[in-house]
Amino acid sequence: MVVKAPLIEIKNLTKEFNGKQVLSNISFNIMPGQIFGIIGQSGAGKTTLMRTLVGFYKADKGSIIFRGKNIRDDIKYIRSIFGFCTQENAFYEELTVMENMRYFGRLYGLQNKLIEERIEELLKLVELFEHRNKLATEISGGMKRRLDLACALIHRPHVLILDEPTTGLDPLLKKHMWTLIKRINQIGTTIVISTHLMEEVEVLCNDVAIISNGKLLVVGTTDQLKNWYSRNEEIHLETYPGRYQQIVKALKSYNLPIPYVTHEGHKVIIYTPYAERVLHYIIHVLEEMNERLLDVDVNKPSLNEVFEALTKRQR
Amino acid sequence: MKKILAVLEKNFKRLVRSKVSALVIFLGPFFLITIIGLAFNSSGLNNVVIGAHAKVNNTNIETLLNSIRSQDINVRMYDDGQRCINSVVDGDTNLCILFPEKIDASNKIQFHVDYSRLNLVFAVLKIISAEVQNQSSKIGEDLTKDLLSKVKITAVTMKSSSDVLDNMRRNANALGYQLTNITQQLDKMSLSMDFSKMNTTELRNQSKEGNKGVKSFKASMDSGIAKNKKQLESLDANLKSDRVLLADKKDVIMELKRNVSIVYNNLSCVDKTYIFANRNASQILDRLKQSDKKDCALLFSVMKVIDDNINDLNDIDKQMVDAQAMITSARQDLLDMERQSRLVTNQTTSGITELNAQLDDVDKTVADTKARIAQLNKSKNALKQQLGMISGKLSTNDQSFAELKGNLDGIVKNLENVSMITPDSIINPLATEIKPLQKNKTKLSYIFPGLLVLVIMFVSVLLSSTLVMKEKASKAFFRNLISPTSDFTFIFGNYLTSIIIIYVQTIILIAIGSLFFNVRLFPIIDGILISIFFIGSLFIFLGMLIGYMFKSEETTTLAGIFISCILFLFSSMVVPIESMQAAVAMIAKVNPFVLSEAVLRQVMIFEGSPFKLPLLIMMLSGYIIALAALSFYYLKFTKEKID
Ligand SMILES: Nc1ncnc2c1ncn2[C@@H]1O[C@H](COP(=O)(O)OP(=O)(O)OP(=O)(O)O)[C@@H](O)[C@H]1O
Ligand SMILES: [Mg+2]
Repeated sequence: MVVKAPLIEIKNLTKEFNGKQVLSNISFNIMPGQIFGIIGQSGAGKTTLMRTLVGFYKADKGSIIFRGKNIRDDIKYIRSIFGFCTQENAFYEELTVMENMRYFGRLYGLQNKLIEERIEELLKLVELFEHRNKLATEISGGMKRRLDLACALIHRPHVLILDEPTTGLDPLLKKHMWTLIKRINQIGTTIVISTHLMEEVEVLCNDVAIISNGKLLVVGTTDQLKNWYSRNEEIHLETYPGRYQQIVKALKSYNLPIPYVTHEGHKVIIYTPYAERVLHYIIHVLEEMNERLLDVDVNKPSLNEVFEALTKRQR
Repeated sequence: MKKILAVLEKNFKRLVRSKVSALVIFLGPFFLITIIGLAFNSSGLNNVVIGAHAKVNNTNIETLLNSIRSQDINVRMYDDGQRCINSVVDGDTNLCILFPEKIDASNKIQFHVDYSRLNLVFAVLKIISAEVQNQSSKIGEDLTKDLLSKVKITAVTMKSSSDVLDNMRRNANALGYQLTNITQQLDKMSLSMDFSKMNTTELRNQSKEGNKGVKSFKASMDSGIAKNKKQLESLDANLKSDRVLLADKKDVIMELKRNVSIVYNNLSCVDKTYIFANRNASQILDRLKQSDKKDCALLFSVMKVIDDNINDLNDIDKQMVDAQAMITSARQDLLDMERQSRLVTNQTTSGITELNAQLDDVDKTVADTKARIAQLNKSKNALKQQLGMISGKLSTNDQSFAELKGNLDGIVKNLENVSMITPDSIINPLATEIKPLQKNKTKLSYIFPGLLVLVIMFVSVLLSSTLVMKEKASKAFFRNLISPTSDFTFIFGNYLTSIIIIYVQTIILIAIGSLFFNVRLFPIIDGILISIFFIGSLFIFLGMLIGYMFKSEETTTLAGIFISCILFLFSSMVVPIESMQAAVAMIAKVNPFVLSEAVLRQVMIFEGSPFKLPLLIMMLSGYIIALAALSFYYLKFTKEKID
């Protein structure tokens, strides 16, 4: 097996805003040609991480290595080979679709002829060619997302960064966007995509990093993550007076497989592949500890719920 | 460069397409300048009242005040100078003019001005100063006219004097000739009287032989007397006619003397009238004065010669009168002799003794007459001598007359040259016309620089800060910043966008000013455009800095307006720097608005190059560099603030 060198290495990255750590000590690698997912809840620090990736923010600690070189060493080169599709629509509403693309093409120092060629090619790709002379304000939300994507691609980036590209799109448009992203990836563009949807990761990504509250929780392939967490069932338990720590401790003392425990409100959520056996022991432990059972429920979690559970645990 | 053009194109498209900002940025200044322009142009100085006090009322002051009134300024007269000054203090009038009794170099017109009042005072002051200057030139012109007319009269008089002198020379020559004639006549006149026939000896001898010799004695006596009588009569007649001739000549000389003395007086009169401070006029008249002195001396000596001549003529006349008197007594003697001889002939019958006694009388009378005639002869000779002397004198006089005439003609020519000069060329020898300072400027012209700076400041600050803020607020800002484009491109692109708009607006404002408000600006457009570069750049970078420093669009706009207002308030547009407190004035002196206004003033009002104020230009450049550097710094800082 040929071990490929990572395209981007993120090493101990820390970023602060006004003394508050938004990214803390994050490390992972992105391999060339893959679609790398960054998943996290709102405010987790995805955008910050991605902006630091293109050198827009300067890391307070740690470094980002691109093809063995620190991106800070030649930021202009990095900028010319990175494309960034923003969470918001980073183009001018007062300009037409074409004018926007032409403007950014010129900012990337492309020849006018080349720009015109790319505009046609990209607008056809994102299916905006008929709307090329419309003002950016006049096109629909889905079109705007695609225009932003087209703008990000005008200089044919080696690495495309997509910050929540499907947020706010209806399921049909979402699917359409996914196919687009896959197509772009197929022509050799490494893609880093942020999302808070596990579904998106499942469909698109090879590798995924889960971050929450600025911290990296897990990195791995999507399959690894799925296998790991989909074996568990959730037991939602509510008792009085609710000494959950002792309850979980007691349960664990019976050697029961309980990989994760989280809290939600007055409830405790226990993850386990053997829900029936654990339930049996819960009744027993509650009696012993003189806890009154108020509510109990058993669920089979989705990957999404696994992710949510994971990130919630960090709160 | 291509990137800058891209930024420019994008900026303009965005500005034009967002209608509100386009409206505000492009039309706002026009409304502003139009409203202010209309306000200042139509009724600007109608509310201005000036007080005036004159110790003596004269036409000069009256015309001056009228010309001020013609500028739509109300003039209120005060009887008391102090009350006039107080009216300024009380705010009843905007300024007070005190006229001295006589306006000249030492007595100046005083302006009492309250600098803390509206800036219009300056405009008024300028207008009035221009009028006063205009008027004082006119006064000088009048005086010079007067002087020159006197010079002209003198020249004419002198010319006629010169004619008279000619006449006199001719007369003097005639007189000399006449005198020679008289001398010759006197020579010809043989006053050698024949007394041989009046010998009584024969008759005495004859008387011894009776009376037979009496008859022949009488006959011989009578013939001798008649002959001598005739001679005396002709001499008398000659003397009489000579005296008339001399009297005529005397009249001519007297007239000459009168003329010369008029010239003399006029020349010294020219001297007294000349009172001008004007340098060139004084030069001309100094020259006149010098020649005047020289000629005065000459004229004086001529007058003395004339006096001498007159005295000589008087002497001759007196001698002639004496001679006439002697002739009269000699004729009386002859008449006595006649009577005595008749007595002698009548006494033929009487005794010899009586006859002898009578003959003794005759002898005595004859002896007397002889002595008298000898005396007459002597005085005739003296007269002859005198006449000869005068003749000699006359010929020397003729020489000095000729010299005098030459000089006189020279003076006349000089004077004629002086009188050829026009009065205003003496007042203003270098210029061809009397031109008041800043002639073609309207009232609006004086505030137009300030107005223009005001508009440029507000537009620049608001435009560039809005541009930056719109850019910052735009989601596209991020995409700009992650492109391989330097910060310089964005800052310079924004700067270029702003400065182009400023230039377009300035040119339109200048066009409005020129067309509708009669502010003369197009001839000095190059200076204005250079100044606008410095002024516009300064305020554009100030606006950019504000745009990068503040977070929201509202705070940016507020900060822009606030800072602009502060700069405006600390300028001389509102309160003149002279009347500010020292500390505040110090701030005001480095206020970019004040510096900008000073530069534009230099260009627009004095029509000079902005580089005539190198310090100001350097200060402006310093501001521009500092603000630009700060803008760069804040742009880098801004990146962290983008969400
Ligand atoms: N420029 C900034 N200055 C200060 N704090 C910032 C800045 N940008 C982000 N933050 C803070 O950092 C944290 C992470 O923000 P970030 O935008 O990276 O989250 P995110 O994961 O992209 O969220 P979302 O899913 O909503 O886009 C948030 O708490 C945010 O308030
Ligand atoms: Mg985000």
